Amino acid sequence: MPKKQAAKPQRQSVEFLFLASHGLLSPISAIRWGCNRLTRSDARNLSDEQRDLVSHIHRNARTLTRLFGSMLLLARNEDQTYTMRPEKLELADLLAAEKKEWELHEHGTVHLHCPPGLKAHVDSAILESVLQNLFAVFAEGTDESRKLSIDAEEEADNVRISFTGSLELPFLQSVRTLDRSAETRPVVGGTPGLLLSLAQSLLAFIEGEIAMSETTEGSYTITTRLPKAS
Amino acid sequence: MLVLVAEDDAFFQETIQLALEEHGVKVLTARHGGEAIEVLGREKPNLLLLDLLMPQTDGFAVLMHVKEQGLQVPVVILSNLSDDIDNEKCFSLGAKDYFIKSDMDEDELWPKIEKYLTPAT
Repeated sequence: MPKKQAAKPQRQSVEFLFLASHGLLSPISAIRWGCNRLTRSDARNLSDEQRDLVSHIHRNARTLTRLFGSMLLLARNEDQTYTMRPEKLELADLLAAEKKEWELHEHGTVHLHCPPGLKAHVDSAILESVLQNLFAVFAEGTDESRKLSIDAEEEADNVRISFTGSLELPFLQSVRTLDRSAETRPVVGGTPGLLLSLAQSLLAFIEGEIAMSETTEGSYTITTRLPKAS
Repeated sequence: MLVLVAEDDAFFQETIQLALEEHGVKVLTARHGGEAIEVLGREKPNLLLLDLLMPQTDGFAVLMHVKEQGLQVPVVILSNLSDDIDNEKCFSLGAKDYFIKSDMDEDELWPKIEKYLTPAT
C-alpha cells in the first residue's frame, strides 16, 4: 500500500513534465520563428540595436526549444513511451554538425578533434540531445565570442568526449541532495545547471556518464563517456 | 503553385504563409481539420502542410480523409508532436514527410518542403 501511494506522485510528476515541456514548445517555437523572420536581412529594416536585441531573443528561444525538447525526451523515457533504438553512430559527423550550428549562431569558434571511424553504440535522438545540451552550456552567460575545444577518443569499452572552455557557472552552495539527506553540496544553478542535469539524466538511459572539473580558473572540462560500438 | 496550410495557431499560420509567399506560392489556410477537408473539397492544392493537434478535427483525421478519398495531394506534417507512434501513424496514412516545428527555424521551412511541390493532378 505505501508503495502504491508513493508511485502516484511520481506518475503525476512525469505527466506534468511531459505536458509542460510539450505545452511550452509551441509558444517558444513561435518566438523562435518570429525572431528568425525579423533578423533575416530582407524581412525588416531594423536598427543595429534592434537587430542585436532580436538576435539575443532568438538565441535564447532556440536554446529553450532544445531544452524543452530534451525534457520531453526525458519524460517519454521515464514514462517508457519512448522506443530506444541503439545504433552505431559516427561521432565525427555528429560533432561536426553541432560545431557548425554553434559557429553559425555566433557563439564563437570550436576546435574539434575526433578521429574518423570513432563510433558510439547509442540511441541517436538521445545522443543528439545530450550533445546539444553540452554545446549549449558553453554558449550560456555571455554574448561574447568563445573558444570551445572538443576532443574525442577511444577507451577500452567506451568513447570519451571532452568539452573544454570558459564558463560562468552560477553555483548554488547549499542545495540539498535529491534524496533529502542532510548532506548538502554545491551544484551548478541557472540554465547551465539545467542543461547539465538534463544531459546527465539522458545519458543514464544510454549507459553513459558525465563528469566536470575545473582545469584553470574559469575554464572547465566536461567529460562524457558513451558505450563504444564494437 | 498552391499550398494549403492547416494550422490552428494564428501566429504560425501567418508566419508560414509569409514564408511561402516569398517564394511565389499562393497560400490557402485552414484553422482546423474540418476547414482543411472543406477546402480540399473545392480546391486542388499542390501541397498540404498539416499540423496534427488542432481543435474539432485533428490532422490525423485529415490524413485519413485524404487517403480514403484518394486525393492526389502530397501531405507534409509540421507539428510539435515527436512521439514515434505519431510519426509512424502519419507515414502509414500516406504523409510524405514529418517535421518538428521546434527543431527548426522559419527560414528552414522552404528548403525542406520545396521538393514536394508537384503540379496538381
